[in-house]
Amino acid sequence: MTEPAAAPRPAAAPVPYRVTEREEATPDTATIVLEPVRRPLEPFAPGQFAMVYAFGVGDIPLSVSAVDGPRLTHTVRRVGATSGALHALRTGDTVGVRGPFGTGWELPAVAGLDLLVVAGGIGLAPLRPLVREALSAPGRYGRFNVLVGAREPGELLYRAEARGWRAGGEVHITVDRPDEHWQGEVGVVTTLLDRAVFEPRTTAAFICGPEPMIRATAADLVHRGVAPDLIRVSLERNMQCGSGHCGHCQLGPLLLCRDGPVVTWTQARPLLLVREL
Amino acid sequence: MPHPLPACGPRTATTGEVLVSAQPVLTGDGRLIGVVSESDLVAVEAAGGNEVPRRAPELTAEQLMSVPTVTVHEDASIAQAARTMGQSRPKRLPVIDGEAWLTGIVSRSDLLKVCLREDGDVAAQLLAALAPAAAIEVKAAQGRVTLDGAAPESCAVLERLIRTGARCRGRRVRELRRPVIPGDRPARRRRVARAIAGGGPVAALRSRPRRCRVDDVRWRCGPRRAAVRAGARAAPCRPDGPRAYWRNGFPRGGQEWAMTDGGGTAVIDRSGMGALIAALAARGRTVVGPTVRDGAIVLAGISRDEELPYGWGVELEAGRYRLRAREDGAAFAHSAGPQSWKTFLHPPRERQWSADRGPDGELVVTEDRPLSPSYAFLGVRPCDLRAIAVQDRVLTGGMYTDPAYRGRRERAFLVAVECTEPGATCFCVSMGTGPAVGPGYDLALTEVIDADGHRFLVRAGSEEGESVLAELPRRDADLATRTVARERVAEAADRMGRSMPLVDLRQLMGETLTAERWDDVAARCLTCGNCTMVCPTCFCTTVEDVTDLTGDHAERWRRWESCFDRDFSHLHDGPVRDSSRSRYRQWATHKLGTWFDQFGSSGCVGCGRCIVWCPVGIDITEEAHALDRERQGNAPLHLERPR
Amino acid sequence: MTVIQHGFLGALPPGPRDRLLALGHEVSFPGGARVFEEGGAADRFWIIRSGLVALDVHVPGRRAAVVETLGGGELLGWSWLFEPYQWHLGAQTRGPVLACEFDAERVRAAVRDDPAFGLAVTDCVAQVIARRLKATRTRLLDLYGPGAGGEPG
Repeated sequence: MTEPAAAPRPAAAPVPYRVTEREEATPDTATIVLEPVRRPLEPFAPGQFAMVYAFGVGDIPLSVSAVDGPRLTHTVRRVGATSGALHALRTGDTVGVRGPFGTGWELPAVAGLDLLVVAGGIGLAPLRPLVREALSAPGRYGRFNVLVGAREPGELLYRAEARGWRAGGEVHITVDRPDEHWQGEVGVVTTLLDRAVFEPRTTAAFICGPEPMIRATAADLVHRGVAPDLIRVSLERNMQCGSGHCGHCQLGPLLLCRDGPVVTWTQARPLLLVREL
Repeated sequence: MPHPLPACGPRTATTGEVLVSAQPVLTGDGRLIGVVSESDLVAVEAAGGNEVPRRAPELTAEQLMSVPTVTVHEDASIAQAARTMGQSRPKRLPVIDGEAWLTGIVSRSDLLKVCLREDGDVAAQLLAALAPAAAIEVKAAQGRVTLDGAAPESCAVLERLIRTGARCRGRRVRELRRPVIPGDRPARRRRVARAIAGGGPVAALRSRPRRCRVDDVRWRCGPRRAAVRAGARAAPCRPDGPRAYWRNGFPRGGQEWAMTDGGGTAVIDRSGMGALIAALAARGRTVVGPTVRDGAIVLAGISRDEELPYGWGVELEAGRYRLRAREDGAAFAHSAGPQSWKTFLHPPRERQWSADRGPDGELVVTEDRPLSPSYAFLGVRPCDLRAIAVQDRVLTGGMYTDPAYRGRRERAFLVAVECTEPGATCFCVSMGTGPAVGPGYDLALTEVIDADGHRFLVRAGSEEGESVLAELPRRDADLATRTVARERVAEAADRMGRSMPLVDLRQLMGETLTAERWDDVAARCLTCGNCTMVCPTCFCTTVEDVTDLTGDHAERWRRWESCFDRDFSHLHDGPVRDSSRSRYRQWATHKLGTWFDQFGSSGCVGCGRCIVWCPVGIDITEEAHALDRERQGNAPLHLERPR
Repeated sequence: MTVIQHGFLGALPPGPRDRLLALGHEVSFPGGARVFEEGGAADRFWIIRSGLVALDVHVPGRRAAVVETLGGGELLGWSWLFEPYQWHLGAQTRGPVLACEFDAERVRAAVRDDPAFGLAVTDCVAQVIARRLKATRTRLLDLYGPGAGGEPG
């Protein structure tokens, strides 16, 4: 929505990256680590996304679920042809990557505030680099709460890592459908807001998940007194080019590949209220 | 009362005779679980050949039927039912109630009949609408309406009247549905099946009435095809080096630009026009200009000035385009045709890059950097000149540039022509884009035909423009020619066929997202996407990935895409914008509203193409006026022509 | 700490809150204890201080299906306020639980006798029910199922 600060860049062709690690996170979700075959792309910020190309099939937007120097980590869920092809990648395969695209979480802008991270399902993936960034700077932020909702215990992402997050903050996890071994919380992720200790007026919230979950969580937070400008949500539309040229990801005045995916609740709320916008 | 239709149970054996074009399959308690259609039977037939009559009874309805079934609720509007039928193309739609019980069937012909009205109704409605001009006598007989007297307005008013009158708003599917005969009555079923089979008109019917006469709509799928076909002959290209005219911002308002004399001003005649084409070609440029082809004025490569449409004008109305011979021999007295310059600058289909997989599995990506022709566009209208500036902003003005577009655009030489003959669908004045030419041209022409002859006032807007002008046989721009040219353009401003409401359109769009008017336009819109194809600023594209037979070579192609396509907003399970209401709203609000937020200007330049090439004559200016009225709270529809 | 008191007591105005608390007494449950059973008389209710309680439904031939968990600050049980005063779910602790227990009959009597207090308590219980209904409806969408969003692509 604003004039670009940087000089115009060509909307480039994909850059080859090689899969160096692959881990099945859940039955239909895999986390892949990519390293540049030759030159790397510009650094990605937490919340930004890449267009990842599976040879001959197509490309889809994938947020970075970890950034480590030139290495990119993505968590991909098998839902369509392209995500299926990316899910089926093996170590050593090459993919094409374009990016970085879109807005990031911009965590440093809220230094000093309580942090509340709310993730639903695979929405934890784009939030993981944010959690890592916050945990790497102890003392810079106030109380730190991570609330995670998933359908079943088997679909929880990064379970081992999340256990380690408890050293730097509170982590609350809930599932919709418990199995017989699950001894944790059962219920929708918004109910976890009651468990978290935070001061609403000085809290910055970061939400990613299915849109109804985002709406319910953000509305609840505003009701509790969190400023809509301090609630950042990651939205999803049909992103194709990443460069604002194809028009698919429009949400009213926003081109989400350019003005999003991370926007404030102040921006998002009136747009999400209009059906089929 | 429409005749009833047969139904059967899941275990009913199918026989050829019970199969009408779609037979519902019910559970024992009457809930609809599927439909056996002709095509289901055809599939069996294809598998079993001539044995069908013997084999079919062995199959039960449950084995044959199509699921899930496309249905319509009995309280749905006629328009919704028609749209459902249009989308999934069944010949008959089962009608269900709130608990999924089958309550009847509607066919295409049932829906269409609603649109046929009694003569008396038509006459009365027309008479009421024309009341102020009581001198008109209205007669209606067998659907034909005869008007006698002096018409107060052009026939466009009447066209709109008929269209408005033909709407079937408010009627519900429940009024039309045919009751269903629950299974097990084969004799009756056979009779009904025969009745339906003999009834006949179904295949010929469309889900919505056509308003245009057949000879008016030869272009029905024209713009898409024309746009693809009209690729100009490629010429050897010549790098021009960076140009100084790259511009992103453009002021609003058109009149103040008129007739400002730049570095070079001169007058050329028809031989000068030929020399201009030759001079541009001699510079290695592919000259593209208007020419008559296929009953329209299209943009194509031209090499001689005789190819220009001398002596041709156009008659435009909503949903109507006609060539008309002119006596004055003017070359540029026609307004926008089915194409715009985006066909050349932002082509309908283009390869972006290709990828090869090496023997070790490594990916090698090669970006397409074709040496694009250096175009000279002859006859760029002021509205289209602005449209090019709008696309410049979209494709090169942001964080990312489209290198292929930029390459073509930087090398293009633009010969603008001021507008002296606006069409009935033009509204550039109210968009601030014409009829006088704005900045951005290399040469600007104004065509003048009077007692002193047929000539063109030429002004140069760039260094290269000046140097081209210097090569042409010309004379100094005399005061008379300048004055006539100025007057012609000023007169054109007063003869605009249409106008947008004089309000902040961005604000209007933002405040009317939930207006009822969108339902009204949705009832007419066919979501064909013609408006997006002909629009000179619509830029949306989608990509296709293709591989060759070896599987080691893949290509990324980009092609125009329309926001009216259902898949445009596809997300996991389905489109975000499913209804035609939301898709028309997306297009209109983007053009007039959110384009400002995204790219700092209006996305509409007032060329009127979307009005002309809409098969049902939807008029964006009319819709904007209606939205404005609804916003003001006085929603009633006036059958007036927006001026 | 200036953190807002969430949960049931936080939503009650100070007057009614003190009055209600005066009617309760502290109890503790070991882990795995059945607090109440589906169909039983709803003669008590609790405000959980700490620990987690799972609400479950009895399904023949299966382990009890947990439909929701309640934690610190939350109201455990609202069936005591409405006829026929019967639990429609079972409740079992997931670990040691500290809670404030109330005698339903005494609170109902106070609610009847003091309309202002009664309105405050009823209002708070209604809010709890509304929130749980909203949460249940959200879960009905099965948001995280296959094909659901949360991540571009």
